[in-house]
Amino acid sequence: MITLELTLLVFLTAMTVLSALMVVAVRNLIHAGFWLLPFFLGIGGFYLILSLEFLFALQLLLYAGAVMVVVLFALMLTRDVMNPRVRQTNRLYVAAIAASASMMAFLIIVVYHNMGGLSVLPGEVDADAITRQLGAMLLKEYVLPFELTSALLLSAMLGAIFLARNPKVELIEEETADESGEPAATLLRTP
Amino acid sequence: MNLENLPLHFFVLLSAVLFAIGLYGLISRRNAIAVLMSIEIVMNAANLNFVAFWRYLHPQSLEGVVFVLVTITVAAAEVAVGMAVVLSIYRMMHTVNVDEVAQMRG
Repeated sequence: MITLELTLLVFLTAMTVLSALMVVAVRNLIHAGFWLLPFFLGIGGFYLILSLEFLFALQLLLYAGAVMVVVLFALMLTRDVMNPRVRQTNRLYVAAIAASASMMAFLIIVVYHNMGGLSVLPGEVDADAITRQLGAMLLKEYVLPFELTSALLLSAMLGAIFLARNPKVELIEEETADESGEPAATLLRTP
Repeated sequence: MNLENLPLHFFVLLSAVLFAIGLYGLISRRNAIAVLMSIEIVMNAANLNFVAFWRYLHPQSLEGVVFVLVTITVAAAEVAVGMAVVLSIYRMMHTVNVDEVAQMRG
């Protein structure tokens, strides 16, 4: 019997798998970057099915928001990402298909042989209390990984700034400051 | 079929398929940014698996969700640093294709 829920589930699954396929297969990389959006939304939908509203919101904010914007910016700052004549796959094309197909076949066989153990139904969970419980857990049992995560974010931010700055631009700035005695606005004058 | 009667192996199979798709992109793409996008697919598949196993097997303790939270944070940091590295390589070598960037001396 086809219910609304089944239709929704089929639609969500198809959207997620198809957009993942488009991300890895489309030749125009800007389009591939935009295909990340339905993929992240689909994964967020599965979080909703698993009664994790907080993780759904986080998925929207971090993946569909931040990660996708950073990916698109990086794509637009490099070249040959929209040229349909440029090959986007390397020589390992066939090996990649073989590796991923055998990986998928292996995983499906393993799941099929353990179907009895994996046919369990979802356990009882208090959907309203999950976020509260999660906050308490992060500040009690898991306070160390939580704080380590903040250190990781700080070092990642500093590392990204250090790696992405352009040494040539700063050189010009120093030179002009030496000549005229005042730092001129030369940030736009890239060599 | 009701969503409450959805068995666990649905989620395991789905994330296996997504993992394989991401693996294909990881090996076959030339552009470093596309490789990072494939890594995002693989990480999301792993996150889905974590959450599904938590929900079906241990719904009382939230360890699986804490794992996913940390993974999402690490993925965000990884994307920021990865894109900075890619832009730095692009400025130096004028390409971001991983099969052309084969020089180890700067």
